Order: sequence, then C-alpha cells, then structure tokens
Amino acid sequence: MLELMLLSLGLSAAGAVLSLLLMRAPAAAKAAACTLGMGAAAASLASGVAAIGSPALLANLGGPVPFADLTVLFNPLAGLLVAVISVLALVAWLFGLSYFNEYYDKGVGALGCFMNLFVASMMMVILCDNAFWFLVFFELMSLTSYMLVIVEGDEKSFKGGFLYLVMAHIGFLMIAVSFFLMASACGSLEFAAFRATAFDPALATAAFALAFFGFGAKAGIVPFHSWLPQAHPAAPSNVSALMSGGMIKIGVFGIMKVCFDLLALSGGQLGWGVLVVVVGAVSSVLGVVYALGEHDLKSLLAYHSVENIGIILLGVGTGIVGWACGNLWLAGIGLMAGLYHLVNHAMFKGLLFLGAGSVLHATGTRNMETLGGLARLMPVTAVCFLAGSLAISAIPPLNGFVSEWFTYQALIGAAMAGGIGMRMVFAFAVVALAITGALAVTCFVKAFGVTFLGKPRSDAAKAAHEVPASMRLGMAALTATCAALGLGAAWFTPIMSGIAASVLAAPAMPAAAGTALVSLETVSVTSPLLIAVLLAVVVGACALARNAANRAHGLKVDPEPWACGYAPDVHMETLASTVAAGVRGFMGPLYGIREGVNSAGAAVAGVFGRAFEAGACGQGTAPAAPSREQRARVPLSESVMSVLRSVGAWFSRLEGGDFRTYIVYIVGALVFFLALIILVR
Amino acid sequence: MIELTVAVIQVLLLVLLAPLASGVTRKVRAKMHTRQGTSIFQDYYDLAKLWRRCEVQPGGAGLVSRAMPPIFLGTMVIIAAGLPLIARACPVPLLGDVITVLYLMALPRFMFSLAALDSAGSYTAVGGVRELLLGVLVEPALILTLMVLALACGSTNLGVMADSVASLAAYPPVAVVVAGVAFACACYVEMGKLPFDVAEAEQELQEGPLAEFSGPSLAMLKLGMSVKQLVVASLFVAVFLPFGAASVATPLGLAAGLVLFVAKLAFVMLAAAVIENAVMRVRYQYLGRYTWFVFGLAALSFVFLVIGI
Amino acid sequence: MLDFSLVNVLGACLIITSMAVVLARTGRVSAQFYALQSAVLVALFVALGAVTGSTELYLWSASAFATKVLLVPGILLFTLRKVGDSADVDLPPKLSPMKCVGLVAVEVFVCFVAVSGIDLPTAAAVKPTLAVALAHFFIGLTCIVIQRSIFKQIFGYCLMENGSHVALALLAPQAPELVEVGIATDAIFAVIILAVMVCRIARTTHTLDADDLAELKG
Repeated sequence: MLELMLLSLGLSAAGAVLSLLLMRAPAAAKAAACTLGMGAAAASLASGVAAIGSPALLANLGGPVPFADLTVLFNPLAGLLVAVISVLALVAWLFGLSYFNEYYDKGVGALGCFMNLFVASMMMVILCDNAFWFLVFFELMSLTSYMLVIVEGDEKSFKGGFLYLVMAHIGFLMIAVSFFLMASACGSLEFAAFRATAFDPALATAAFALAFFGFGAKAGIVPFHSWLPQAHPAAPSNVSALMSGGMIKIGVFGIMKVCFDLLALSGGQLGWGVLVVVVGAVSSVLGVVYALGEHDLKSLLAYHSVENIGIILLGVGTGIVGWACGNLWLAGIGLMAGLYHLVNHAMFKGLLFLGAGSVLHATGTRNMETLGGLARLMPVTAVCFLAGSLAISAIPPLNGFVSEWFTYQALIGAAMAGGIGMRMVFAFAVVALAITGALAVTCFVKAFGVTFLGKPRSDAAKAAHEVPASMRLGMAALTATCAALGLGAAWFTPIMSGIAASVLAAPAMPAAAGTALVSLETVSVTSPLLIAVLLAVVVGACALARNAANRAHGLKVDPEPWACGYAPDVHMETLASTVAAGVRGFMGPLYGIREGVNSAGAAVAGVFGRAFEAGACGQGTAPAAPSREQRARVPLSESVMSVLRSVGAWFSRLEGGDFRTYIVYIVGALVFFLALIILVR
Repeated sequence: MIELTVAVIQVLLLVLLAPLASGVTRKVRAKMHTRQGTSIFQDYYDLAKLWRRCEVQPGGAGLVSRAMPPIFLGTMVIIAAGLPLIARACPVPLLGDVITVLYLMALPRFMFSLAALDSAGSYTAVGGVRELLLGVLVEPALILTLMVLALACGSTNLGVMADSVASLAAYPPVAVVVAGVAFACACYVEMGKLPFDVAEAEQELQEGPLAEFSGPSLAMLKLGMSVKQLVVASLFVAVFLPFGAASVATPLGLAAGLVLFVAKLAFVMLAAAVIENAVMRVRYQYLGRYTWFVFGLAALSFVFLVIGI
Repeated sequence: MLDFSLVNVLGACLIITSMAVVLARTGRVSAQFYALQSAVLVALFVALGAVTGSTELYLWSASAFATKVLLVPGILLFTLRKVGDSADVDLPPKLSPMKCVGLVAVEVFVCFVAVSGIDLPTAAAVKPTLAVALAHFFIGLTCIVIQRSIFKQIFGYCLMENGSHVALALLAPQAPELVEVGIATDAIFAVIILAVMVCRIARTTHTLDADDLAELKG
C-alpha cells in the first residue's frame, strides 16, 4: 500500500509541474491537473482503504536532511484520513473538470499546481512520523491552501486569506512548541521516540494543551474559528469542499495523534477529555448560531464546519475521558462516534460545498436573498443539496444521524459512569448537542428553502441552468456515499470500531449486530436501515393513496400563492433574514460573543500585519494592502481600551448604592474565602 | 409475532383515534365558551369531505410540497409503532430509542417548514419558520428531561425506561417526578396547543403553513397533525405514566393495558384541552420565556438527579 | 433506608415549595406556599424523628407546626390586609422565572458539593437534605435580592430561617427543646417586627418598592 501511496504522490507532483508548465494553455493545464489529480486520488484511496484493514506499517524513506529522516507511519487511523481526503479530492477534481472553466483567466495553471501540492501535502502530514517533517508538510499545506484562498484575487479573498495565514501560523507555533517540549524531554525528533517515553504529567498536559489549541486553530474551534468563514468561501467551491471536508479534519487528526499516540505512555488525563468536550460543545452551538445569521451560502456552510468540528470533538473528548478512566466501552464508542462523524462530515460538507459551487456556477452569486426557485431549473443539484441538508441535520436514516446517535449514546454513557462533576459536564454537552441539532434543522431549512424553493428573486436566478455532467456526477457520487454511510451503518460501524480500537490499542467494542446499531452500556439499539425501509413503505403507501384520490377527484394548479387577498409580490417572499431575525430574537446574547471574538481576531491580524510591514521580512506572500486596512480598522490598543472601559463601567454600576448589591458582595466574598480555606486545607 | 401485532394495533389505535381526540378537544373548547359546539365526530366528516375534493396546487410549489403530507403522516405512524404503549417493552425495540424518536420527529418538522417556503407565499412561510423556532426552543428541555430519565433508568430505550418507572425502580424518585413535570410541559409545547399553536392562528394567518394545501393532501396533513398530538401525548404516557401497561405479553394483560392506555391518553388529552382554553394567547416573541422556564425545571430535575434525591 | 430516602424526598419538596414561594405572583399566594412549605418541614421533622428515634424531634415538629404553619403565615396575611390599598405589594421580581429556577438549581448543586465533605451525626444518607438546608440560605438570599417588594423580601428571611431549622435538626437531632423554642420565638419576633415596619413604610411612603425606598437613605 505504501507503493500505491508513493505512486499517488508522484502523480500529484507530476500534475503540479505539468499544470504549471502548461500555464499559457489553460484548457490543457486544467485537463492535465484534473486527470493526474484524479489518478493520484484513486491511488491514494486504494492505499488508504488497504491500510484501514492492515496492521500499522512504519517505514524510513531516508531524506535529504541529516538530522531528521523522513519516517512514515501508515496505521488504520492514517488510512481512514487518507481515504476520506482521497474521496473528496477525487470528487473535487471531477467537479473541477467543468468548474475550473471559469478560472481560465485567473491562472488555472497555478490553481492546478497548488491544488495538487495541497492534496499531496495533506497526505504527507497524515503519514509523517517525524516532528520536523510533520511541521514542514503542515506549513506546506497551510501555504498551498492560502494560495488557493486568494486565487480569486479580490479584496475579500485577500482579507480572508490573510486572516487565515495568521491563524494558521499561530496554530503552527503552538504545535511547534508542543513538539519541542516533547522532543527536548526525550531527545529525538522521531515520533517513535515520543511514544516510547513516559513524560512528566505536567509536561504532558502542557504539550497536550498546546497541541490541542494549535490543531484546534486549524480545525476551526471557537475561539479560533473566525478565519474559517472568511477563508473557505473565498476559495473555488471544490477547493472549499476539500478544505472544509478534508483539511480541517487534519486538525482533529492531530489532536487524536498527540493524545492517543504520542502521549500514550504518559496516560490520558481526565482534564484533557473535559477540555475537549467543553470546547466541542461551545463550538457546536456557536457555530450553528452564527451560521444562521449568514446569507452567503458558502459562509453559512463554513460556519457549519465549526459546528461539526465541535460535534466530532464531543465524541473524541468522550473517548479521551473513557480512556483516562479505563472505561474501555466509553473510550471505544466515543472515539468511534467522533471518527464516524469525521467521515460523515467530510462527505456531506463536501457535497454541500459542491452544491453551493453549482449554484454559484449557474447564477454567479452566493447571496441567498437574490436566489430562489432554483429547484425547478437545477433539479439534480437541488436533490443532492436536499440530501446533504437532511444528512447534516442528522435526520434518520442518513449518515449524520448515525454518528450523532453514537455521540449521544457516548455522552449519556459517560454521564452514567461518571461522578457529580462529570455528570454536569456531560449534561451540558448533551444540551449543547440538542440545541445544535434543532438549530441545524432550522438553518438548513433556510439554506435549502430560500435558495432552491419559492420563486426566483433576480434575473440571475431566473436564468439559471443545470450544471455540466461532471459536476452533477461529483455531487451524485457524494450523495450516494452519504446514503450508503447511513443505510449501511451496521456494516461501516465495525470498521470504525476497529480503527478506534487500533488507536486505543484495545479490543474493538461491539457496536453493531445484524442490521442494528448497538450501544451496550446504555442498553439501546437503533437501525437506520429498518427506518429507511419502513419510511419507504409507509410514506409510499400514503403517497399512493393520496395520488389515487387526486386522480379520482382532480388536481389543478393555481399559479399564484394566497396572500390574504393582495396580489402576491416577489418582495413578500420569506428571505434568509426572516429566519435569522427569529433566531436572533431568541438567542441575542450569543451573537454578542461573536463581535468580541471577531474584533479580537482582526486586532491580532492587524498586529501581525504591522510586524510584517515594519520588519519587511521574507514572508513576501503577505499582501500589504489588507494588513494596512486591518490596522486602520481595529488597532489592538483600541480594543484593549474598550474592554477596560466596559469593565470600569461594570464596576461603577456595582457601586450604585443598592443594599442588595452589597449583600451579594458579602456573600460572594464569604463563599470565596470559604472555598479558599477548603482548598488550602 | 405478538410484538408485531401490538405495533400494528398501536398504529391503528392512534391513527383512528386522532380525529376523535381533536373533535373532543373542539367540543371541550365549545363547552368552555358556553357554546353548543360541533359533534365530536366532526373531524372524521371533515377529513372524508376533503378527501373527495379536487386538489389545487400553488404554482410555485414542487416536489417538496407534494411529498410533505405523506412524509408527515408516515413518520408519525413509524414513531407510533415503536413506543411502549400497551406493553412495557417496546414492540419494535429498534424504533424505541429516545434519540431515534426525537430525531425522527425532526423529519416532519424539516419537511413541513420547507413546504411552507416552497409555495412562495409569505403567510405560509412565516408560519413554517415559527414552527421551526418553537422546535429549537423546546428541544433542549426535552432532551435534558429524557437524559435525566435515561440516567435514572440506565438506558435510553423507551421500553426499559417504562419498565423501570412502572416498577418504581427508577432512582432517584424526586428527580424523576420533577423531570416528568418538565417533560409534560415540553410535550404540551410540542403538541402545538395554545399559546404555542402557531400553526393554526385564528385570524388572517388562518392555518398558517397549511394555507396552500387543499383536498386529499390537506386531509392527510390534518390527520398527520392530529396523530402528532396523540403521539407526543403517548410518549409522555409511555415514559412517565407506564403504570398498568402489560409487563408480560399475554393477551389478557395486553387487553388490560390497551384499555388503561386509552384511559390515560384520554385523561392527558382532556387535561391539555382544558389548559389550552384556560390560558391566554401570548405574543410570539415572548414564548421563549415559557420554554426557558421549562428548561429551568429540567435543569432542576437534573440537579436532583446528581445529588440523589 | 427507605425512611432516609423519605427524608430526602421531603427535602426535595422543600426546594420545590420554596421556589414556589419565590416565584408566586402575589404576596398572598407566597404566604400560602410558605405555609405549605412549613407543613413539609413539619413532616420532615416527623420522618426524621421516626427514623432516628429521637423523641425531641416530635416536640420540634409540634412547635414548628404551631409557629410556622399557623402563626407566621397568619401574621403575614394579616399584614397584607393592613397594608391594603395603600401600596402595591405584588411588584414583579427583577429576575425572570427561568433564571430564578436556574439559579436555584445552581445553588443546590453548589451546596451539595460543599456538604459532600462533611460527616453527619445522623446518617450519610441524608446528605442531600443537608445540602437542601444549606441551599435554603442561598434561596432566601436570592429572594431578598431579586424581589422589589419589601413585603416579599420578608419571605427570603423566612426561607433562610427554615433552612437553618432543618440543618439544626440534621446536625443536632438530640438538641434540647429549649434551643427549638429559642429559634421559634426568634423567628416569630423577627417576622412581627418586619411586618410592623412594612405596614408603617406602606402607610408613610405609599410604596413598597425597594428601589424607591433606597432614595430614603442618607
């Protein structure tokens, strides 16, 4: 399987070079990049699938650098990631065959080159088993994806790209420090040495925390998410699919690798798992809440990536908790739920981004407010997008439901097994997941309904046409995968369970029996396949009965909807903002947090921009224009001052003279000091 | 085999009784308004009449509107088949998981709101969006109360929960009782009774999201919505009032369970009808306060669970 | 064991009734709920007496019945009639019911964590009830802080007092009747004094709103 992988990397490199050479002939460059890319993806897919079922393979490829050999580790987890990214890459290239036609005048040669390098560097990050090379490829992945983000060349993409670059490097720095901590403790840059060393618990915790936030910045967890909704939409849609479906999973992969693999001998700590679960819960709720406020189809999807990363982390965190407590069932089921959701999210998010790309291709706009009525004009895209929406909303029997079901079972199982504190944490997580689920339904009713249903609200929407065959094929392939991962869950679950078991180095937990999914500790079963069959039969029977009645008594079409006696008008239609306004009404405070995080992110980016300008350092890729603008808009000192001012205002309100405030004061102080006494004792 | 029979009986019971329950509710309302009211069988007449009518489709509507009524009714039927209503165990355990039931309920809601947007009518769409937001408001409380019960009974399967509650083995008791109260409130919201009845606003928003449906589709949808009310009420009965349901599947026990179940369901529906007519209509924006109060109750029950009383 | 769990169930009922006292719209209903809570308190004493076999607790329950179920609510209802129309008693609280319930839940949880380290002389099984007793202190405080009507703030004091009563019963079930008499009369006098003050404030200022009354200071 390593040979296949090397073949894939070679094909990617050839594609990159060829497409760069053919820069002057866009059509040829596109064809070369896409076909070679597809070949590379097919080869890596085969190798990834082979790796899932086979024992881990450690190989030393030598390399040009004297102090660090290029070692690769091909274990089932790496195989899963490789397979997922390969599927996405395959579909993205297929989609690109037609979609890249729009980029002929924007340097399609460079685009093909960077995209090939991007895919190859992702593969290498996954496989690499040496800290030095890991960081090199990680950086290469960030840089190539940055180039893909700014390919449009407009101001918005530069801005998003710059923020992305800064965030990626903050993450990079944290990961590098984490690796350095471990390397200095064990005296080698080889991951093999890391995993053979039992680190000091404090050092292990520091390394884990740094790696968690560093990889988390790549994965887009709150509070490092602000780059995601700006950078992903700016890239071409199939690249967005690859980034949102694939690249951010590398962040999750990194977290798992550091926790379960590199720090394996140091023993997991309960606190790590709680940290991951809490961050996951917060990310999932805030991600979906902010997605609801977006009217740009691709930004909305990007925010949903934040949400889904949160859900994945809920599973992974539960796995860490189970691992730390020695509860093998919990560890297995939690990690399995996280992995399953990782695969699912890659598939439906890829599908949805391709759908958004098709809409963009057909109408030239991503603004939902000006779309509408596309279902009639682009039926294939509409059906695929609807399937993706149902899947991401975790509606049975599609794949999102399967992984969320396991996540719920893992969370409830963890609460069942844990003490007081654990129960509180996991109740919080369950409630967060419930809110997320309900809001995701709302959000995708909005995304699909406003874009595809109703009547067209602009000339562009009226003139829309179905997209070319290769794009339709790409979407259909992912739709089929989503359906298969849902209906065939009972067959995929043991595979995922096996991967989770190999990560934990523990026996696999049974999670499926026959066509049923089983959760042992919470004594429950479900079966997406049975639900699908029953739905098909019952709904089909109902529909047949209704249609028979229609045939018997007639069916007419009334061209206009009822509008309380007024003539219906296109301005009366419900827009995305109508839905968002309702949610805002109920969840106002949550939107306040976003302003704070965003301005902080912009301020940090501004500081970096200034540093780039002043030092005129070698990072020539950083465009000067956006950085200057950032600085003008939100200087860091300004935002610090505003925080101080609001704190001051809060204190002055406390001193208002109300006796009840003083009571709260006194009791607060009392409780504080009592707690202090208890802690000190 | 006997389980399958039980499942079919449950489905038939809920589907056939749904119009009657809705008719009785209307009668109760009329009596409380000191009106004569229509016959309690009026809903059957309405449905039969609609079924024989010519259907008029709005021009903008497509497949989603067309598919929604069968999906709505069909999903409710499937949920009804899985609940432990007349016996303590789930007739089809594969459908009896709490999370499965709650997420299955999201399917009709999703399609319902999509269909409301589909017809391009602003009045229907407003109703559809409100339906969604109510779901958002009530979901956290529903899940939290059911989680309390799952932890108290050691399973997320409704049948195991029902068995544990019926044999008074669910521990700690006060937490379960408080969770039951919170769940009852949440179910009341989910049933779409006043003031949460956005689907059937009285004046110009007549029938909100249903405005564009007619003929057999409307009949199917109306039936589906009545069945939904019964299904939600039976979910409450199944989990928190399982007393009297057959613990072993003997024909006699099942018959007794059936009779008792109908009595419990009738009681719950009557109570809901009386409450509905005793409360006032509330502005939509303020509904959040009520649902968050329910969530507070659920949180309290969870704290009781944690501290073990 | 069943008996101790009965004590715990009654403890939970104390929390629920005290929430009702805090959340009730009118002062009248609050007073009635307070009487109900005191009845639960009496039942708790009886149950605890039956479980631990401490005869003092029966005496406690009798005196608690006389003072808390009958006398204190009586005084409060009487005050309510005295105040009459001269001031609005039923001002809405400053916090929404949802936040109140959430706050109570948090307080109970924190108290449980706090008492989990304490060894009880009666039995470890009633630890939740001790948490409830401690939580009543905070619930009473919550009531005082969030209520605008000073009449309703009196209930905050009463709830704190009930909490200390339960805590005493759990920590020192063998305490002599004299202690109990002390607590009961203390409570009665405090309530009487507060009631008289409410009446006079209502008569002079025609308002019971603590925000308005804050203007009187200085």
